Amino acid sequence: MNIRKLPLKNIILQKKRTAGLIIILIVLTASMFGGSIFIRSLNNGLDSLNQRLGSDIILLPKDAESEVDLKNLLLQGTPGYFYMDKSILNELENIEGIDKISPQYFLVSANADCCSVKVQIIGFDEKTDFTIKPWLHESYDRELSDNEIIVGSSLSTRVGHKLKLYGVEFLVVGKLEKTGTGLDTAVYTTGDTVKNLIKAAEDKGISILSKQNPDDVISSVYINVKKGYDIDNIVSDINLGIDGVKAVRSKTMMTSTADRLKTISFLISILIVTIWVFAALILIAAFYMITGERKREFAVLRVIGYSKKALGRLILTESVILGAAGSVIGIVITGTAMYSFNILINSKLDLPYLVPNAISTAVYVLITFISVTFLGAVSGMISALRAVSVDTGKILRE
Amino acid sequence: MVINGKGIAVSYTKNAGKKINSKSYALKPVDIKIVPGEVSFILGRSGSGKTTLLSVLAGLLKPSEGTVLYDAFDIYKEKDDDFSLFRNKNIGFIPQGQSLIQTLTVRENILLQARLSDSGSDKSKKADELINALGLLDRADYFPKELSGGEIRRCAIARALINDPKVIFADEPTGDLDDDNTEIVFDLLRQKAKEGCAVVIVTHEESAIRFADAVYRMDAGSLKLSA
Ligand SMILES: Nc1ncnc2c1ncn2[C@@H]1O[C@H](COP(=O)(O)OP(=O)(O)OP(=O)(O)O)[C@@H](O)[C@H]1O
Ligand SMILES: [Mg+2]
Repeated sequence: MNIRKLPLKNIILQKKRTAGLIIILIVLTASMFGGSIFIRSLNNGLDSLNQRLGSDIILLPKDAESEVDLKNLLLQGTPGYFYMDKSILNELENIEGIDKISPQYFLVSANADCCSVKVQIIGFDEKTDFTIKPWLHESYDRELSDNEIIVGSSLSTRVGHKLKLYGVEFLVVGKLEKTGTGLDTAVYTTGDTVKNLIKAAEDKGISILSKQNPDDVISSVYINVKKGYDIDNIVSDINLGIDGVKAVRSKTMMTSTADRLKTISFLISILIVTIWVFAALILIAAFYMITGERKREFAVLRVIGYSKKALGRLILTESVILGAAGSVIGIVITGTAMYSFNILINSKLDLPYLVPNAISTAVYVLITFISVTFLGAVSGMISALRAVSVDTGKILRE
Repeated sequence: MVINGKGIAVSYTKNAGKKINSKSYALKPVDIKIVPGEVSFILGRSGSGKTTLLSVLAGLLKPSEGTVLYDAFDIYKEKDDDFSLFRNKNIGFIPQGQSLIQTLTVRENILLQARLSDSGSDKSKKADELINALGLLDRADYFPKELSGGEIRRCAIARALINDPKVIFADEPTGDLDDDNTEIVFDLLRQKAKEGCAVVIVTHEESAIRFADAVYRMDAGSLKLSA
């Protein structure tokens, strides 16, 4: 019999009471931890998408659908294919203030044997590329040879492995960092390999593929502006000067998404705060009521010689242990759920979603743990003050 | 240790209907002196103020008037920390009704009082002696909810005796006990007085008066020493 063990014994042996309190604490923890990880993942996703767009301006064919298609490709991974004449690249040369230009060619998505989802095939120009290779998981300074590809992070294949598309094997030579967007399921390769792919599809009798040759057409152009030039001016220069194309600022393209994300983050924040306030009040009330129920127990402890301080400490210790245990259980449950349903959340959500890395997650774990434990301590403190403020003699008479 | 209650009284205001707040006394002003080596009995009807008096004397209920001295030591002027430690070591208090900690076994309940001020001396042997003396040997590892009313009572008595207190307050210690056990408890308390303890017992057992050195009677808050 060690008096230090009394708080623990009280927690372990009063199972129903403990279970009730732990449930409230788990709700608190889950709302705080899960909610903030969710918001952070959305913001992460958008940040990474903006970075990954990697250019100041994106040039698309001037038809109604192309911008929507590109957005769907980015946000949901649904395939997009639209084309414009390659000669546009020459016209761009005449526009002042342009620093870098790199075209891409989109091909209808194919069913790869690796994956349950369709993959978008993107042909890119290795010589001018500045938006894809910087995101390789391990840097890769060779040029892509025939039938070599780079894959998005969600494809379940590895560097050095082969991927079969339309019956032809392609060697994976690089894998990109995760973006939390539709780009994660894309396959990137050179124009020559794209031609091989088209041929392979035709050999298999699949003719829905574009008849458009990557030698003649492109789908989009990524443009970086020289320092000192205004991006918006160049966007309008292009739109006025070149027929059949539409230039959009990469940032502008994502503003509606960013706005939606802000609204969602705001709503979730309100939800978290609401749950928190209610759960915190319920927790404090629960502790308070339990103290009322335990007043005779506390009076007996005073009778046998517990000082007010010792009694207060006992109550506080119990509440801190409960708070800590509840938050740890809550964090484990929420964390496991969020990280194991990560892919599901990602696919059900038409927003970029990128869970924070280990260090940021650890920070959230710590903040949640401290807050919930602190709230436990506060509830305990209130109960302790109540418990020591009554006259022991009055309770014994009851 | 001599306990001197001087002019102690407990009053409370009862909200009787609207606006009429009448002051009532649970304990009317009284002087009482408890001396070592004696067993004092307090008898009286239910609601007459016996528990109130005992609580005041034990330092558990601050009286609205008067002082309680343990020798020269004014207990209600002491710091809570100091007096709590004093109470733990020197006062054995057996409360009326159920008074065990539900999450501790019989033995642990008894030892809790000892461990609170443990000065290195191991009280396990002493606990076993008391467990034996009060016939709780086969109940030592039971939790309170597994005990009968009488067993709970006896456990509370053992707990009050574990630190060899100088003063014992027992509020109806034999309320739930059969004749044999009642005899055992009174013998034990009598024995404690013989060893130099000041013992105060609240009881309904008129027949037990033969154990008493002094008998007080309580009636509606006033205390009288009966001959
Ligand atoms: N704070 C209070 N408010 C209202 N009534 C009080 C208060 N304190 C004491 N009383 C009254 O004082 C009287 C004495 O109570 P006490 O518990 O001391 O009686 P008792 O003699 O121990 O009775 P029993 O034999 O039933 O245990 C009771 O009638 C009780 O209602
Ligand atoms: Mg009473």
